[in-house]
Amino acid sequence: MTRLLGILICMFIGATVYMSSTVAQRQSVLREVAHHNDTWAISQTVSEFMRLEAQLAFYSLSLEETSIDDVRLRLDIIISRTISFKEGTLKDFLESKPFRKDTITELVSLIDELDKNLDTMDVAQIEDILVRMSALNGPLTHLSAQSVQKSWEDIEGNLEALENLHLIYSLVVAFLILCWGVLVILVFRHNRLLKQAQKEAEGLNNSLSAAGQELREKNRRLEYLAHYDSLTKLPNRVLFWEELEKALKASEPGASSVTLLLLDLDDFKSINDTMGHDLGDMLLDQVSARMLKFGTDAQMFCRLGGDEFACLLVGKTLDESLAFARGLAGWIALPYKIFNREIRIGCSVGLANADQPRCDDAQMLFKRADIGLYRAKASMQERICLFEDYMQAEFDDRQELEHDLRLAVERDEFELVYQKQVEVMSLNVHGVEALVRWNHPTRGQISPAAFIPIAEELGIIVELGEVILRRACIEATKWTKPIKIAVNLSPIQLQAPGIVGTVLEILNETGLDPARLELEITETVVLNDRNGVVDILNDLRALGVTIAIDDFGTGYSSLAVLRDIPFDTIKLDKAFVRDIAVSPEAEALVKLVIDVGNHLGRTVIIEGIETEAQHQCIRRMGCQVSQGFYFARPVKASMLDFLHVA
Amino acid sequence: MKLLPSLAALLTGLMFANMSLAEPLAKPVGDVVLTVSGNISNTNDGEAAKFDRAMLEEIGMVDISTNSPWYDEVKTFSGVPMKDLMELVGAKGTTINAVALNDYETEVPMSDAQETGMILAMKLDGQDMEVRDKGPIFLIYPYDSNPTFQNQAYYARSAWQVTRLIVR
Ligand SMILES: [Mg+2]
Repeated sequence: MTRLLGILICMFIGATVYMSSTVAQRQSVLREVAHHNDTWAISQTVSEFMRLEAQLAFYSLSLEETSIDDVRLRLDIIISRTISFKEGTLKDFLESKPFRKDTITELVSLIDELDKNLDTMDVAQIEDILVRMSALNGPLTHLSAQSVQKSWEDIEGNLEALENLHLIYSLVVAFLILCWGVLVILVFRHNRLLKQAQKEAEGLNNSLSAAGQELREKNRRLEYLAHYDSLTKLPNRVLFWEELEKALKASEPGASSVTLLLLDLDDFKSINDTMGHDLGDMLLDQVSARMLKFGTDAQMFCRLGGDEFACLLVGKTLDESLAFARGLAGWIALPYKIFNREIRIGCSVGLANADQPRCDDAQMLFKRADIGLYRAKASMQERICLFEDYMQAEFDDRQELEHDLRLAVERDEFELVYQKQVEVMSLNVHGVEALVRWNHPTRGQISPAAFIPIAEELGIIVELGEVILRRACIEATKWTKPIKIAVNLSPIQLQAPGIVGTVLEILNETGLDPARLELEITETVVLNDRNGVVDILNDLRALGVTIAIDDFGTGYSSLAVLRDIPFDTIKLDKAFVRDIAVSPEAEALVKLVIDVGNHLGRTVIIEGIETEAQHQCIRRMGCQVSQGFYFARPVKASMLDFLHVA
Repeated sequence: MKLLPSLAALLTGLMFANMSLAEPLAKPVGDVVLTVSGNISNTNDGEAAKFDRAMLEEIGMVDISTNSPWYDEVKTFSGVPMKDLMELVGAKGTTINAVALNDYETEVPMSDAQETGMILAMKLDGQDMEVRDKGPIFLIYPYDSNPTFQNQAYYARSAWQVTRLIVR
């Protein structure tokens, strides 16, 4: 392409140079044609020569007052002509043939002679010279004719040359037109190629920008995925931490105080388990939507994971934050409608404010809110808790206790104590309840009420319960009297898989008569999965073991419990006994339970008898078995001498 | 005859005193070399204005050195500008017919007189031009000064042995 263009341009230049040279040639030819008026000069010479001749003749005849001056003028004129014979093309023409040369030589010599002698010539001499001049008329006219002829020849030649030039010129022009045409085609082709290339470039550019757009889109998507929860579309943990740290960095005490709220849905797990994960997910989604709708003045909401959410408040006072939390919890607790089912779920909220007590560290603030949440969840009434300084100490304390508790199982720091249960009438020993004590190396004795819930939470209750049960059974086998040994079972322990197997194994291991073992459970076990619990209890009773409902009357006591649960003994909580001697209502309630037990044919054990009056009171009511400090305090196994007597 | 110079001086003074006054043309003293006739207002012989060499030279001589078709080298021609001559005779017309001794006649447009700087050459390389040297008057254009003058049309107007001018 480029080479072709180069060749074309070279040809163009060549043709142009050639054409301009031919044009110049043509011009010179034309000029030659124009210059060729030698013929005119010769013909004029002829006429002037004849005028001189005539004038000379007039002069010799003395006619018409012709003076010598007139002759001289004519002579001068012809002389001026002859001068031009010696120059240029005229000279070439005149000297080219002997005839012409001779004629002109004769003319010039004649004129010269006349010029020299004119003033002194007499008539005879003039006549003589006239004769000679007359003889020259013919040759001169002939010369003129020759000149005309040559002129025509020249013109013919010039015409021919012009025609040739014209032909060449036409060819060059045709060639130029051809070149021009090729150039135009080339330019069009080039243009087309350019346009095509431009189009391609545009296409490339477009696809590039599309790819860039896609990449940006993907990046944004990735960024979104990295920072947002896919289910609820709330910011996720990552973004939350960024925001929290940013807020803390920007915060100034008072004005833009930061409050962190941690929210946890109550019993979400059981909803998820019983109603399915789809519904659980939808519930989470709706809860999130409510949060957003409620908390328009919140800095941000986020889903930390599972059913845990966080909310960031900036520039609110403690009271405002608490009010916000209460409002939010109330709003979340309103019923939901999913798949035409009405679902209710509460939530617990832990709050921590960055100013009270002062805290600049996001991790620390989060921990504090978490402590608040923990306490809120543990609380039965208000499930909203603002972190306060003392909670940290309690939390730390509890952490330490948890730590120690784990070690305590390994180190065997637990001790069993035993409290007698007596028959109210005879005061004979009915049985013994095994109670566990934790002898903490530094804190001293810790009651089960303090550490059992922790053990339950830590999940070591099953292991601990098994140790206690085994030890109690072993102890009971040592006793000479085959009285009952009562052991407390935690609800978690009872519902742990394989409890029946464990009990059976321990009975077999220790060789204790199953009829002597009474397992105490609390009525709270029936709150969830009543059927499962009933099955377990039936299985246990099938082993020959008896079941006692412990702390009766404090939890969710209902007649249904008594109807549905297979049990052998009711242990009425000591709270009912406290005012029994002074309050007729208390007395009536205790009487009612005793009567129910008697009517159902179950043993009723009244706990917490501490005074003689209380003792007399229950005796009157017909109570059979009782337990309390009045009869015996819990003692170590070694103190149970009466059971070891042969 | 002695009165003439003083008369001329007086006339010159008058001319400078009043530019609009045309200078009356003197009579030729020597041989008449040029006769101007036709549509002119300033005459000295009937309808014509006749000049001898001295009268023409008095108008003011100008030199033109140029190549020409008639000579093989550059020649210096001296003569009276046609423009000045036409002004002097009060010519009014569009053409000037130049007639040569051999009755050869050429037509020169009046515009050439005004615009080209053409002269009525009387001297060639400082020598008076005789009849045999294409004298007494040779119409010369400044051919070298402008390529348009190097043209057959101008060469044809350049008549020699001119003795008469007729303004039309
Ligand atoms: Mg108990």
